[in-house]
Amino acid sequence: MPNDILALGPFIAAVSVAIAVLLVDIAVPGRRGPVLVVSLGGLALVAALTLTTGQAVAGGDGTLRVLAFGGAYVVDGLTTFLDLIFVGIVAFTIVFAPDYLEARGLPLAEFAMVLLFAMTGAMLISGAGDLLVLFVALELMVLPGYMLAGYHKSDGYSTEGAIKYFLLGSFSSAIFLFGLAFTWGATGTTSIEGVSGALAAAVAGGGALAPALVLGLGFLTTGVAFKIAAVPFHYWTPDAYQGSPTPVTGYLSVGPKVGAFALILRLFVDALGPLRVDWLQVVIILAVFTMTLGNLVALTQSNVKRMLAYSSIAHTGYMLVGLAAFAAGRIEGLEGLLYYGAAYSVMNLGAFAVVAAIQRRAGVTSGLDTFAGLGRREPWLAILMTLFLLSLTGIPPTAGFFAKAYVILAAVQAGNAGYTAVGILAVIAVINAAAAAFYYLRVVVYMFMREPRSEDAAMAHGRLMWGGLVVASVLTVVLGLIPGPFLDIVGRAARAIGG
Amino acid sequence: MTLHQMLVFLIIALPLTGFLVTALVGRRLGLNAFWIPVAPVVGSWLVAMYVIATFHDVLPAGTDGIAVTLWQWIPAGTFTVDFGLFVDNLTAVLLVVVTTVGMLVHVYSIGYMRHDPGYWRFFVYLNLFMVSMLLLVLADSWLVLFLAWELVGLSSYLLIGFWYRKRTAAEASKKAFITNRVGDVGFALGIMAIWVNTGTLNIRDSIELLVGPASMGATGSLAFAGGIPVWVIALLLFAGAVGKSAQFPLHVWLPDAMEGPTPVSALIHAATMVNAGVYLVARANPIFASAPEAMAFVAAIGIFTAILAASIALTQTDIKRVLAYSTLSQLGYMFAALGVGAFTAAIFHLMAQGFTKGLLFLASGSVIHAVHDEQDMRKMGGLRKKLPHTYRTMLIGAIAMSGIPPLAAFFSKDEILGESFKLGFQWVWAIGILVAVMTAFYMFRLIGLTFWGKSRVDPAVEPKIHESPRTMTVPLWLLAIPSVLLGIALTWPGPPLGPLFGMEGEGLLGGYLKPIFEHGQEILGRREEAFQLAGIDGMLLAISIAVALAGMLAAWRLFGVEIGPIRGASRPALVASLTKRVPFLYRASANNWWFDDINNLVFVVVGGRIANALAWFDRNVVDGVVNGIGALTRRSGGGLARVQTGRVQNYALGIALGLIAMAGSYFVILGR
Repeated sequence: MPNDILALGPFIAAVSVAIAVLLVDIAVPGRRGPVLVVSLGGLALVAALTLTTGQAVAGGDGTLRVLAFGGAYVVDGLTTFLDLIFVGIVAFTIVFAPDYLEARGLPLAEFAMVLLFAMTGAMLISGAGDLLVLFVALELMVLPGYMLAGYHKSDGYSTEGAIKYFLLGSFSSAIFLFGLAFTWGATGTTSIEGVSGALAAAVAGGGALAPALVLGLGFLTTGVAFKIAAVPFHYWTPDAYQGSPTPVTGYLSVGPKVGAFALILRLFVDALGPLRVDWLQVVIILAVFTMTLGNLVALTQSNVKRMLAYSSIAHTGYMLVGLAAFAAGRIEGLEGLLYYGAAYSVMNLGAFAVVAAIQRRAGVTSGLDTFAGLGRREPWLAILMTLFLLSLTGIPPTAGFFAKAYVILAAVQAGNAGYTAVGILAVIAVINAAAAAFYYLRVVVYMFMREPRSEDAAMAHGRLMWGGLVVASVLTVVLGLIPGPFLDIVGRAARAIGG
Repeated sequence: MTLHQMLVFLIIALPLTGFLVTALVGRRLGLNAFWIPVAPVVGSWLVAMYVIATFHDVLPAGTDGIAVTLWQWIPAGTFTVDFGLFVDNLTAVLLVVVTTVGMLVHVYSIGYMRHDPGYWRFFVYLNLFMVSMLLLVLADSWLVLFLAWELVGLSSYLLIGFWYRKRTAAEASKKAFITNRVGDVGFALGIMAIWVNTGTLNIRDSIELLVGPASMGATGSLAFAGGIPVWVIALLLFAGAVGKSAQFPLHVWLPDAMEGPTPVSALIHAATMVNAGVYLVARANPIFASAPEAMAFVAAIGIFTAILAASIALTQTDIKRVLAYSTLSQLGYMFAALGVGAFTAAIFHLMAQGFTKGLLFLASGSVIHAVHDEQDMRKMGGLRKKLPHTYRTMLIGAIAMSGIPPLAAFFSKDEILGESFKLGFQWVWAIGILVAVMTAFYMFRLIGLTFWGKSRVDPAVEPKIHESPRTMTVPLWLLAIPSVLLGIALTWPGPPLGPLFGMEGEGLLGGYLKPIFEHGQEILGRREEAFQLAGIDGMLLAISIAVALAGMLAAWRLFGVEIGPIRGASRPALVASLTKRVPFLYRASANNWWFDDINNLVFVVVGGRIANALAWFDRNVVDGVVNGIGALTRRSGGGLARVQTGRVQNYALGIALGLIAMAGSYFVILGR
């Protein structure tokens, strides 16, 4: 039992930090400093604890898996890796938020607290060893998301987006839960290992699977596809993204997405692993639709936030390519997927941070026109934005380039190994990546080659904002320039689950 | 990482730090901006010298260099590239030249650029160049080498166009960049070909895989392992060298590059960057040695460039242009040496040239500085007394360049000519002798017009002429030392140098570079022959000296002389009558053999027409199709966006339909 608590240590610490932020705000209301110190310091603590726990419990190479609470919670290399990404995402979001929130009179403490609770949900997903834990964790992650989407209460768009997000999210959660029920009914267990074992036996025994299980698979896939915003289950994304306060949009585009991919890793790769050849085909179709539609619609957007929302759909598609390559037997696909998750988090949060910085003055829209002449007005901001956009496009030597290269390379290898459909998927991904350059670079063109509509003065940005932007840009370059050490960590995490 | 590996890294890291810090804070430092960029370069020089002096003591058995892998740059399945550095004897020689000249040019620039508003910016670029050039000679992988190759191109572009408000400078920088790009395409293709053949981009491994290990001697079946013949690879690599080292027909950018500040001309366009091509061929010597046809081509291009450029240098009136064409010509010598298989001689000439040409350029900068940015030698003359240090050092450089013993360039040039003759390339030798006459002539023409005779300086400027400050003259004298002594020091086979370094009988440099070139020479099947003063070598030596003296005396007769007791007046009338006797040749030389006009005709006029035709085709045919696709895409995108109605009910319905499709598809997939 004490060991179980130890394994759960990072999670408990994260919950404590969230509560501490709440208490701090009660003790010294409305002050920014204490909230930032407690939340960021707490996150550093959680990160340190995650690392040490990962080392102590799961062993140095991370392939060892420790089961806690009778298998309901697991700690392995993947848990550690994903938890660190979540901590990073939330830390960046908190760093980028204050300037934007203050300009609109929105409180920081509740924002940080809700965000931290969402993080605990994501962390629980990454270590879930049981289908029920998985579901509870998922809800714990997305419920704060709904609150955040509607965080700007007096703004009609924010409320509208939040309501839509909430309604559709609940709908899809119900579908997902339905799928879990079917799976439980068919296999008689809710433990991930148990499900995996039962399915392996069923597959080995030959013959058709129970119809309830097939139906369950359909429900589960649908529920997950909604959470990662895969086409055709993406409808909520543009409205929720555009309506939310910009720092929230940044978070929503990466946090719940990586969280949902963690869900996929635990559920599909782990529990439903024996059926991988079957869900592979669905994943391929989802990936094609998701990439292509995301990019096509992004082309026509004139609002940068909305454009980034659709592009986030397209990036989901690229990540699915990695998943497909893994299902086709390439562990590199899984590595690529994990690398993509980290790289995308950094560069997308960076891009949204720039948008948020520009919107520091309340009332500034995120339309493309706002970016006209930014290169002259605020050159550093424009340069950083260009870096993030180049990375999102996939230009070397940025993180985005290597992320795309790895998933596509893995898909090509799978294609060479006989999975022709995955090979074709790689080709479609390359074409999509090329098409995406158009709408990303259009922003660059606006920033540097268009005259601004009105002569706005440059805005002052907080030191916190600049610090966060520098860290994000350095990571974007370093991950692309020296991916080696990071790939080792990714490889360990991938082997923990798919080895 | 061992101490030495760390030091090797430090050689690059120091100027890199200088570059970054200066780029960030330099603007605020004003006239103090030089400390941060200059100090690391001096430090880099010290570290490099220490590494060169001691690295042989720490080499693991069976290796001939220190390899440092900083990190794995590209790990993509079977395609891996390490970001690695490597120091062996060849790199060490280059390091000596690059860091020494680089350091002196940095010091010189402290004074030379003092009055320029872009003081700090200049040092930022200069540091960037140092980083790039050091990376180039230290690279252990073709890809890193290529990266550095492009980086020196970039920094060269920035420095040539440093005075970007000056139209000619901006145009020259573009010309240099674009001309280099032509060669770089070949180089990149060569690197790809190497990868296709060998599956690795490590320079040492790939060469071994390409032509067989050093012990195998002449190439076996491995030479065609990947399907691409070695001679193709050699020629592709050579294309890169032709661009960077400004050989015919890509030589046109170098003279124009003189639009940059003079320290830049000295550093980049005389002593370091232009040598990159020579280094490349020397580094890949086994590849070239496996392809005799490519070697002959290299020799032909080299010697042709040598005589072409020398003939142009005869009549130029801009002091820097004379030196620029002289640089071209001497680089031609180096490639001729590489082409005939005299690799050591080429590197020797590279060193001698690096110092001597660096000296001459810096001295010319001092002259230009003194006469208030005047570069036309017709408006100089009689500066001997007013610029004593500049005059003396430049005279030393000129004597060395002309090939008068015992100065450095005499030995190196003579070795190239002698080796060519003995290796059966008598035609290279014959042309080389002609070039030697011209070299001595144009060097003393330059000295005569600038320092001797009566002053033709603008009377308004005349009283203000003064010698340059110490930061400029001291580097001149420091460069004069190797220009004088290097030749003897590196070739003297007897005591005390030979025995001291354990290289008796073959000269310091020859013995030092033997491990690098013995592979290539083994493949070529050539033996080292002892120097015979009383035999063929002595005769060739005598001819070399004789032609050098002839060229020098001719220049004295036409343009005057004032060395100690030797006095002679210039004879403008004689010059005029001579030029009238060969009007075609004179005009050809003065107009650079019309290369710029030919390029203008081919690329601007004809090329422009073709481009216009292509543009029409592009606008009306290609764009039509693309726009059609684009419009189609947009329309479909817009149509898809219309699905986004904003009504939750519709969305929920969509999801429900999706769910049905999803479950259905699983039934299809699993219904086996």
